[in-house]
Amino acid sequence: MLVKLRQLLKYRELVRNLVVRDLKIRYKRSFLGFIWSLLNPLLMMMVFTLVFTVMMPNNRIDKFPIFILVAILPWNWCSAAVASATGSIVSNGGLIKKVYFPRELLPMSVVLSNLVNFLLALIVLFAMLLIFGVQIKLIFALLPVIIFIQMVFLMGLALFLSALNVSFRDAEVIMDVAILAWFFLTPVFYDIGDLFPDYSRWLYIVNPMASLISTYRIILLGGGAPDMFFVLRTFATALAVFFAGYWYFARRARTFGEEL
Amino acid sequence: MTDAIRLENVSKKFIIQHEGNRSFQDLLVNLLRNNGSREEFWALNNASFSVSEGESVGIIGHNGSGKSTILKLISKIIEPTEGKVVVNGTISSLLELGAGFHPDLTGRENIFLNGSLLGFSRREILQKFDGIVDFSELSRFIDVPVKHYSSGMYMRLAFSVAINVDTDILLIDEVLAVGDKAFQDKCLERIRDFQRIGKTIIFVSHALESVKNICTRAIWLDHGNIRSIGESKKVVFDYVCEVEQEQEDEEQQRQREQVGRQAQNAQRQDAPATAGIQIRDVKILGPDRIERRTFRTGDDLVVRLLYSVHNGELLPDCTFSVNINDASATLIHRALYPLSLAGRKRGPERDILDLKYTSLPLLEGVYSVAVAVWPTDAPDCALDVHHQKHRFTIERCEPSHGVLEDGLVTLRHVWLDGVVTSHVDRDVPVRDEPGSPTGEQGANGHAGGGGGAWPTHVYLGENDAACLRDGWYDPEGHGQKYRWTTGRASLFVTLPEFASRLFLKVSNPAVEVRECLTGHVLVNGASIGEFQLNGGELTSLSFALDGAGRGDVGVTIEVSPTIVPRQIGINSDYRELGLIVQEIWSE
Repeated sequence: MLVKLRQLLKYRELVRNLVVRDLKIRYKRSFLGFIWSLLNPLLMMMVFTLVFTVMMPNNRIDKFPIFILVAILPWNWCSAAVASATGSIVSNGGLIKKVYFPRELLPMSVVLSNLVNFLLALIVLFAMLLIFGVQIKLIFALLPVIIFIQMVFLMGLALFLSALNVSFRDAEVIMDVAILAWFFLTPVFYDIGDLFPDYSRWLYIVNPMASLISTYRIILLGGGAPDMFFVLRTFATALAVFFAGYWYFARRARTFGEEL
Repeated sequence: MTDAIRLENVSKKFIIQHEGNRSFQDLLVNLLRNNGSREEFWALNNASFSVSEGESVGIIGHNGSGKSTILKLISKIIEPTEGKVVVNGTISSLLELGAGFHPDLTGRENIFLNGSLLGFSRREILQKFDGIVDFSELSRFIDVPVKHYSSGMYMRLAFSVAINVDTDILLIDEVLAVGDKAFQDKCLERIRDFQRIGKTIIFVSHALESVKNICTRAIWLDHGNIRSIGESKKVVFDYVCEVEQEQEDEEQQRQREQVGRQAQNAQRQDAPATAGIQIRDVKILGPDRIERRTFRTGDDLVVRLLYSVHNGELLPDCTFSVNINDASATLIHRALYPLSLAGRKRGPERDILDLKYTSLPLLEGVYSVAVAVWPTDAPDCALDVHHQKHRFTIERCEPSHGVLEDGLVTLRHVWLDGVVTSHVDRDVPVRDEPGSPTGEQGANGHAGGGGGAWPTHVYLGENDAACLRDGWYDPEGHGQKYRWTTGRASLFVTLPEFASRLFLKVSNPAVEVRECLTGHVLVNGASIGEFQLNGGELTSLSFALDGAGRGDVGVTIEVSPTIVPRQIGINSDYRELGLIVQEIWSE
C-alpha cells in the first residue's frame, strides 16, 4: 500500500500532464474553448426548466432552474467520468503495451480532469445562486468534503469499469444504457422526498450518487447542515467502492500488457 | 559490480485466443463448454542471464524468438509466468518511439507528457528540456502540434526524449533507423556517451553490425530458448553461420524440386535445338582442387564453373562474372571473364572454367559466390544466371598469425609508431663502425639526439629488437645472423643528413621454388627503387635516396612471391616467408 502510494507520488507529474492533455484536447478545436464548460450546464439547465415547467407545468418545485443546476453539475461529472474512464485502458492500449507506468493513473486522471470541469462549472452555479437570491452561508464550506467523497467514489468505479472493459469489451456498450438508467435512479430532476420513503431508502443504499446529490441540495439550497451520520455512511460506501475497485484493478492490471 | 538486470529461470506463456475479442457472449459459451479455442504459446523458456551495471548487451535472433518479450519483461510491461526478473535502476525504453505522443499537443507539451510517462518530475524535465530540443533539431517547430510533423521529425523528437532523460538503463528495440544519416550518427554517438558514463544498454536488433559495434556481449535467442551468450562478435558469427546454413538447406531443397520439374519437362519435350550457354554447376575448391567450404585469410580459393554450350557458333561473345558477396549481400568483388565462342561447336558436354583467387584478403565471416553469364555487348540480358548461392566461410586466424584486424578484407598496412624527434637540435651524425652493435637506441649515430632515435646501422638478429615493426620472424643464424621477412616487412632507421644511398644485404635462399624474386623498397611510404633477385647468394642492394626523407624514417620492404615451407614439403613450417635480410645501412 505504501509502495503504491510512493509510486503514485513519483508519477504525479504524469497525472498532471494526463489531466492537462484531456482538457486541452477537449477544447482545442472548439471556437469557444473552455467557456463551453460554463455554457454547457447553463444550456442543460434551460432545457430541463423548459421541459419540467413549461411542458409539464404541474411541477411544484420552487426555483426549478437552480434546483436542477445543483444536481446536474455533480451528475455530469459522474456520467462523463464513468463513461470515458470505462474505455480509458483499452483506448490507451498502445501506450500500455509500450511503456510501463502505474496503469491506474489512466482512469484516475479521467476522473480528475472531469473534476476540473466540475469545479469550473461551480463558478456558474455560484453566479446563479446569487441571481436566484440564495444566500452564501458558512455551511458551504462543507462542499469540498462532499466533492472529495464523490471523487473517491468515482475513482473506485472508474478503476473497476476500466479493468472490466479490458476482458469484457461489452462493458463499454452497456454503459450507455446503464448510465441512462442510473440517471433516472438519481434525483436530478425530481426531489427524492417526493418518492415513497421505501424507495428513497433503497435508492440511498444502492446509489451513492443519490445520497451525494441530496447532500449537495441540502447544503446549497436548504442552507442547513446535513445529517453527519448520513454523510459518514456515504463516505464509507465511497471508500468501500474505491478499495474494491482498486483491488480488482490491481489484480487485473498485471496482464494488461498482453491482453490489449 | 552489481547486476543491473537479472533474469532467473524466467518463462513466459501467452495464451492465444483464436477467435476475436473476449466478450460476454464468449464467456457464456466458455462457461458451457469449459474451454474455448485457446492455445498456449511459450514465448520464453527458462531463460536466465544477468547484465552488469554499465554493460551493453545485444539480443539477436529471428522474428518471434522472444527478443521483444524479454524487453517487455525487463520494462515491467508484462510479468513472467514463472521465474523472477530483477531490475535495479530506472529504465528508459525505446521500445516504440512516440508511444505517448498525442497528435494534437505541441512538441513542447509532448516532451513533458512523454518525460512524465517515464516517471520524471517537472523540474527534471525542465532541466533536460533544452538538451532535448537541441538534440532533436526541432527548436523552430517546438510549439507546433506534432500532427503537423513529418514522420521523421516525429521520430526525432521521440528519440530525443527517450535518450536525453537521465535513466540508468536504456532499452533499444530496432529503432536506430531514425532520421537521416547525420541524425543516426548523432544517436550512435549519444549511445556511446551513455556507455561511457556507465549506463546499461540492452539492444535488440536485426542489424548485426550494429550489435557487434555497440555491444560487448550478445544473447542469441532461438524459439524462446537462449542458444548462446557470449562475446558479441562470436555470438553474431555463430548466428550468421546458422542462418546461412538454414537458407542454404532451403535453397537446395528448392533446387532439387526444380531439377525434378525440369527433368519432367525434358521428358515431355525433346531437347531444344536452340543455341545457348548454361552454367551447370559451381564449385568452391581449395588450391589443391578439392572441394571445401572453410578457408582462412590468405588462403588460395578456386571457383570452378562447369558450363555447357549448345550450338556455340550461333552465340555472340560471352562474359562470365563471378561475384563475391558478404553475408548482407554487399558486393565485395566482381571478376569478369570474356569468352570467345567463335569456332566452338560443342555438344552438351561440360566445359570447365576455373577462377583462382590467390591469397584471399577476406577476413572472418560468411561469404557467397554468385555466377552469371551474358553477351559481352548486352550486359543487361543474362544468358544464364546461376541462382544457387555458394557459400564459404573464412575462419578466424590464429592469434599467433599476429594480425589484429577487423572488417571485411585485410589491407596491407604498417603501424609507424615512432617518436618524431626534431631535426634542428640534432648533432652532426657520426657514422658507425660496421660490426659494432648498436643495440642501445640513440647511443650511437647521434649522441644526445633524443630517446626516439633509431639505429643508423641495423644488424638483423643482433641490435634490431626495438626498431623492427611488423613482418619479421625471429632471428636465425648459421654462422651468419639474419631474419626472414613476410611479404612485407618494415622497420625504423635513422638516415643521416649526408646519406645518399640505402644499402640492404639480402638473399633469396629458396631459389628452387622461386627462381626469380622481385621486390621494392619504400621510405616513409614512397618507393625508392625495385630489385630482382635471381640467385640464392647474399647480395648487397643499393638504392638512391634522392627525394626520400632524412632522420627517423620507416623503411618497408615488399617482395613477391612469398613461399610457405609447408607447401614445399616442410610440414611443420606454416610461415609465409619473403626475403632473408641481414643488414641495413646508409652511406
